[in-house]
Amino acid sequence: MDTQNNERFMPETIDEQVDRLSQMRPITSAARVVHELSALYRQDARILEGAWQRLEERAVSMESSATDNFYANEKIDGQWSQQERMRHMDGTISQRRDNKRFPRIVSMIAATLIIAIVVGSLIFILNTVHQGKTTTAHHNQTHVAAQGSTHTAYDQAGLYVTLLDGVYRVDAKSGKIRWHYYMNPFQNGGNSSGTNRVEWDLTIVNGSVYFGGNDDNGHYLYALKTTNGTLLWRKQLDYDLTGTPKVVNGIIYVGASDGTAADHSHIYALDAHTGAILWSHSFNFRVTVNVIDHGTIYASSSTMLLTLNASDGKPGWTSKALPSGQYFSSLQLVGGVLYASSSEGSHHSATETQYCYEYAYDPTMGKQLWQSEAVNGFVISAPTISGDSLYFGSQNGYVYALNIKDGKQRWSYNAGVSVYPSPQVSGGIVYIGETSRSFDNDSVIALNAATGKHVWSKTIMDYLGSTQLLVNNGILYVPSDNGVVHLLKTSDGSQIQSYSFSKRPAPLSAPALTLVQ
Amino acid sequence: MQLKRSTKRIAQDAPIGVLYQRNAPSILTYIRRHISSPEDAEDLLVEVFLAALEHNNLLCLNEGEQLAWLRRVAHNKLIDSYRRAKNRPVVTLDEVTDTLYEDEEQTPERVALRQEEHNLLRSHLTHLPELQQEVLRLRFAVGLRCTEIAALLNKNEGAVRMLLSRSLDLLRNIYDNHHGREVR
Repeated sequence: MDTQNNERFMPETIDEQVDRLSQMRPITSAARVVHELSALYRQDARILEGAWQRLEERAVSMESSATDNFYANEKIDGQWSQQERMRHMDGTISQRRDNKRFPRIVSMIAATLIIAIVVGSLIFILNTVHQGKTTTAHHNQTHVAAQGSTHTAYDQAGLYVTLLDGVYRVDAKSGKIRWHYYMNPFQNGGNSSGTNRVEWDLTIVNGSVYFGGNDDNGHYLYALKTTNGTLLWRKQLDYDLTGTPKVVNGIIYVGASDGTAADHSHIYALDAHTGAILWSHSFNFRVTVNVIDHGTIYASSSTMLLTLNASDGKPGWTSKALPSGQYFSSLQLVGGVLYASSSEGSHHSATETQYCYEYAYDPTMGKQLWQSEAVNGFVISAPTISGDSLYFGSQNGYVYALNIKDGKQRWSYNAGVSVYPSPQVSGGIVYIGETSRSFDNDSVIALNAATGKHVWSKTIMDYLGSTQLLVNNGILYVPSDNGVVHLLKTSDGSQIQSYSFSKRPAPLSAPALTLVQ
Repeated sequence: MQLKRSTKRIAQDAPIGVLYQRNAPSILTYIRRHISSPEDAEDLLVEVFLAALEHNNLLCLNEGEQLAWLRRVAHNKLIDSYRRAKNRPVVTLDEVTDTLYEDEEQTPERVALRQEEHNLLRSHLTHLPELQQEVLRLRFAVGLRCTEIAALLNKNEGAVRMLLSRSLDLLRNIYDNHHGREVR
């Protein structure tokens, strides 16, 4: 038996050996490897065939509506050419694209002029009133809105939950639903992925909830009233949002992209009260609005950081491009320094190891201050900055702490298979969500923020994935994929309570949480 | 890779067929490094090539640029899928209990164990040199013998035999180490 277990693969007879092992039961490790390899490649073959059949059906349906047998959009050749021209208009304020929209252009220009005067006055007044207050760091990754203290007149405190079937406002401690803005995920016979979808996280400012969403008719930016969840307005945009809307001084700034390698994208500035577009700027690369500070928009493309003037969209500086293969995944401004992450995106060889980096930039000119050592894996969530440390998790299962002054590593902790959400830091403790290999017994882990030493772990019998944890007032809010929000004590991880959205009529999904104090 | 035909047909030598046959395995390998669910991987693969269908100028690029373009799209789609993971719908077990257990191999426990084995194997496969990966793929996915693989890759047959046996030995050793020789 031991001889069988130690069976080596022999070059001279390898074909026959593989044939023999594939016929026998996988009772030896050699046979097991052969069986598993065969099964794995069979699975891949099924995927390739399944995808091809779906693709072929789509290609045929496109072919029937176009003369070309490859590209259905040949029939809108003029429109495509227009899009191509738009790509070369990078650096200019975009114009509306076709003649049908001409009347809208006129009315929009008129509306924009009026709004610009009103908003300009408003900005001036607000800037005067709030001078100095906007220097506060923009911690968008925490999802804990900090504006409550300056806008106590608005009834907006509480927990906001985003699920596949819309947006809920709930009592943070009891989970009692106050209102629900319903979006039918199966409208028009949609598939299991849903044809309506709430995109990204919410931004809650001045009594309004802003978020992106899709339905069969297109991509929209929504505004709801925080008091009762009624729709204030929704504005159709050309593309999917690339990030959470940022709202400053009554103006919403958001990026949108067509999601293809062609990377047609825009940054929009919209009136927060009406949804009217104040200006938009076109790019021929995917762009995300990350931070607005002192009248400057800090945005990121896949490989560059860039700034625009928040009042008119005029371009400012552009950073040097990242080394080939690296792509920015997040950007934030803390303490007068921009911090960014990048991961490897395109692989010319499957044998290459993926690496990710953290960076610090000077926000005035875009000069890089430091770049961290390479870390194995990739990062999809923004790092968290607390004190003089920067914390981030990697798909490789590790959590890292860096010194924000020079990017040197302070400690690392092997949490498991993958760490997707941004770490949360409170009271000297770092809280992370860890994804297990089986995807159904993930854990929340608490580490000492200074040393990286393990403090406690709590297994959540569900998939956490990339959903963000929240920590507030000694309570850790942990959303999981079966529609449950777990409330844990930050002191020891013991469960305070949990509330479930699993009886909602829509398919289950992990709630995305936004807390307003 | 032989492409099955749906009732409506696209010529296999049509540009999309050629593009798919040439690049889909590589794109799938990239996707599966990050997504373990076969269903999600298939969805993403379809999305990538749908984007290709809708991109008018792709044929103007050379083969290397086409692959780079597709990988870039796959990267964008992967990031989007992670970010949308919070809205990922899940079907409760109760809803599918009636259909799950007709085949013992399809019970949740067996499926999960098998998927875990696949994930482990795949992670080790992706760390092998590219040539070794290609030899394994041609042997197990396409079913070629060493003589045929050598001819296809323009390599010496002895070298292919050596590569294949070394790759399999390496994977077997990794299995032994991982499972603590718990061979039953």
